[in-house]
Amino acid sequence: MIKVFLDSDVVISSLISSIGASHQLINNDKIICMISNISYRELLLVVKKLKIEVSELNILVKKQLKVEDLSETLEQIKLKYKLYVKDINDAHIVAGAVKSQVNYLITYNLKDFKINGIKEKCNIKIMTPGMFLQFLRSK
Amino acid sequence: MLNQITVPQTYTPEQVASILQLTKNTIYDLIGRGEIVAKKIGKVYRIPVTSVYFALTGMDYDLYLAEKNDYKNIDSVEKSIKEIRKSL
Repeated sequence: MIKVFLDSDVVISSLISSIGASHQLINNDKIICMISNISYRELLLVVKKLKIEVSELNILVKKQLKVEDLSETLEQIKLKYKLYVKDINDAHIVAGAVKSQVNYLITYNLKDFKINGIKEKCNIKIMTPGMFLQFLRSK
Repeated sequence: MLNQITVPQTYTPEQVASILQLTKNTIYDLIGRGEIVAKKIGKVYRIPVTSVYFALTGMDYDLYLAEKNDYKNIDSVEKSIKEIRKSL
C-alpha cells in the first residue's frame, strides 16, 4: 500500500467525474488517500460553491479518505511552509502532506508548488493523478 | 498542457523512430514482436497514435484520456478552490 496526500482539486475532480484519473486514483485499493482537517473544511465550502451534494463528499471522505488533524493554526502553517508554495494560501496542503508522512502529493496545480524544494527538504514528490497511476504501473 | 496537445492519428515507422529516438530497424523489430501495435496497409506500416502515447505524454493512452477528462473542469475547480482558500 502506498500513502499519498491529495490536494482538494483531486478530491473535487473525483466527485465531478467517475471516469477521470482522480476517481481512478481514489478508488485504487493499493493507495491510501489522505487529506487534512483543513482540507476537509475547505472542501465543504468548495462543494457548496460548485453545487455538488455535500453528502457525496462526506461519503467519499468516510469510505476512501483518511483525515489527518493539523493542530497548528493556518497562520502558523503559512509561516512555516511559505517557502514551499508560490501562493501562500496553498501552504496547508504541504503541511498536510508532511504531517501525514507521505512521499507523494497529488495535485493538478503543479505550478503553485515549489516542486524541487518540497522534494529536497520534505522528500515529497508532486505528481498529477495520471502521473502517479503511471508510476504505479511501472513498479 | 496535456489538454492542448494535438497529434495526427497515425505515424510511419520512420516518424516513430524519430519520436522515440530509436532506429527504423528497431521499430520494425518492435512491430514484429508486437510491442508496438501497427497496421500493415499493402507493403507499409502505419502506427496508431495510441501505440506511442507514452512517448508523447509520459502516460499510457487510457491514463491520458482519464486525465484529459479531469482537465475539462479543472479551471473552474481551481478557481473555486483559490477563492475559498483566500477566505479560510
